[in-house]
Amino acid sequence: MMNSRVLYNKNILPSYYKLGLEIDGGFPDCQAGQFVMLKISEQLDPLLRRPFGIYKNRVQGGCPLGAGSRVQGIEILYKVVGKGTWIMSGLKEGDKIDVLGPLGNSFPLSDGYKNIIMVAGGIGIVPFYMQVASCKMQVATCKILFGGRNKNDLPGLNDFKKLGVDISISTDDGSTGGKGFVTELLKEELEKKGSRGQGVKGSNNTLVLACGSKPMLKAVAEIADKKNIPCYVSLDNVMACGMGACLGCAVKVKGSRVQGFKSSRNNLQLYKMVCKDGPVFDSREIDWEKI
Amino acid sequence: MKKQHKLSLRGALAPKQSPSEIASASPRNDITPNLSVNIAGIHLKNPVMTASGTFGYGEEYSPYVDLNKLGAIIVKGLSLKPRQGNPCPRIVETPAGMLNAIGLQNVGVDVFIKEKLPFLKKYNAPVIANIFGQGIDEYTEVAKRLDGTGIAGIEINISCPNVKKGGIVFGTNPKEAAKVVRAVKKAASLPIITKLSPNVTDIKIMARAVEDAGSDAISLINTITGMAIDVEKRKPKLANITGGLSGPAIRPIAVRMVWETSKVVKIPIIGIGGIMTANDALEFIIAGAKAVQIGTANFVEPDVTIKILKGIEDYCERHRIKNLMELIGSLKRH
Repeated sequence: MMNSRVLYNKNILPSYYKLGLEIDGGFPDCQAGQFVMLKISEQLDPLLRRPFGIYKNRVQGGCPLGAGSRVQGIEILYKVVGKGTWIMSGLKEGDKIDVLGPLGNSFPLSDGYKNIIMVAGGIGIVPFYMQVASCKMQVATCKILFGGRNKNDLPGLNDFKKLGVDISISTDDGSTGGKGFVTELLKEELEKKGSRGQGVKGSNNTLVLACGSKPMLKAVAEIADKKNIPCYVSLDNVMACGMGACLGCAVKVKGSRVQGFKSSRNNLQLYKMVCKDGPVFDSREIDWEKI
Repeated sequence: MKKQHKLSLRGALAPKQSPSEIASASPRNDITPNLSVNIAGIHLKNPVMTASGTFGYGEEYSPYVDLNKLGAIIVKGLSLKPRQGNPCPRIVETPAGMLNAIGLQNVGVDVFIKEKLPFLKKYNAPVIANIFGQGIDEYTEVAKRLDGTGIAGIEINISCPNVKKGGIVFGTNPKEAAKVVRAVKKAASLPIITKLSPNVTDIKIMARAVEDAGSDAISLINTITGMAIDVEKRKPKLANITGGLSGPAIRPIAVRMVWETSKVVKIPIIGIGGIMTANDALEFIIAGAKAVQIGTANFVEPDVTIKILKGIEDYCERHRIKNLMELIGSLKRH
């Protein structure tokens, strides 16, 4: 928890912003998929902090924060969707904002996968900037499939182009890339790789990572499951604390046995917390019918 | 009571200073104010406690708060068997507050004793277990199992609005509430605090009923039943439809209820309801609360309890209050 200074707050696309926050010493151990809770306003409304995925971490990713900048910090890529993010969009350089984090788990890193396919929908691109960096360190090939409603719904696209990562784009209206859903790109990609039946220990080790809307994640999970390819999804949820105390960000899981549940109806754990158990989950763990 | 009155009189006769004089006076006070209070035989080194359901089992907050500094830790409500809780969405933010319908998700009393309590015992803050049940038998069984485990006391939740038969029937009916208190009192030799629901016509009746039944202290208020609707979808924002409203939005109601209750009961009152700052906590203390519980604010600022404690100390120094007892129920007339 620290009081951080706003380095910049740039409007990059209609309703999308990049917020640079000075973090003394950075988040040296921060991993792709982790998030911070920001207290956007000193006022009582909005009362609660808001969770945001960490887009760039200078210490970890070596990404400069602004031209000639020597300060250490993180970058948040966010979309204005409600009162909190609307207030956030008005933040100016030098403003103070309280940062709690980094919180949550991260995408699996070194399980020996060779091909990593990252599927992102709109703002769901956020965790993948740092993930690409860690893939490169592990000599895994990575491919990004990026979908949005239109060309203005692909935030951070230029950053990924600069990274030189292989990226395919689709938009609902065809204004950039192919017309259609990003899940179609995933189907094509998996056909191309001929990854049928390749599990974790298969010779063609493919792993799917996804972040985006719940319907998109559900579709991605189904596609990966049919191919028997491991898939991890990063979930978003309303949360009050971010540290496993409020139990508000529960997500329905298929259930694992826990000690203490005596009756047959009650002997499974039905909920996990997005903040503490996640935000990254094995897609097979999630009860997609109830999401 | 007599002693307390004398002390407050002395406080009132203290030489008056302007705020600037007070601010510039350094050091303000030779003696650190004594903030310790005794609630039903539980010694608290200060009046700042954590409210059940907002502080997990303590461990979640240990990276942010020195748990030794807290007056007491009240853990998430415990039932006999683990509970899964309600479907999602479980929380929604409202103006200066939040609605929750967690549904009393908890690990159950046995897992608490085995896995959560050992961690808390490493600290010297008294641990108070909040308990609830679907019937009197469950309340007494949970209380029995907690007796002798090293916890300092039990807070009976007769007022959670989010679970069918989860206590609200006890929380709104004075006779039923008294039955639960009597039964728990009989089942365990621990000090008993009864947490009251604000969802009643007259909280004084409930307070008197549990006092007469033998409750050693009362804490109030629990959340106020509320509802929020997504007008685009014409659906309730919570899967449970209704939830419990907490946060600063409910504070004036809570302060009023503490003040009303303080006039009709002799047992100690613990004030709860939207406390975000030391000043908020002081409102409850001046209204008649001997201690306070911090709830929703923990979510916003994990170390808020420590800040509130510091603020109360500063206030006492500024007002030359040597003992917190001088301040409790010290509300003056207009």
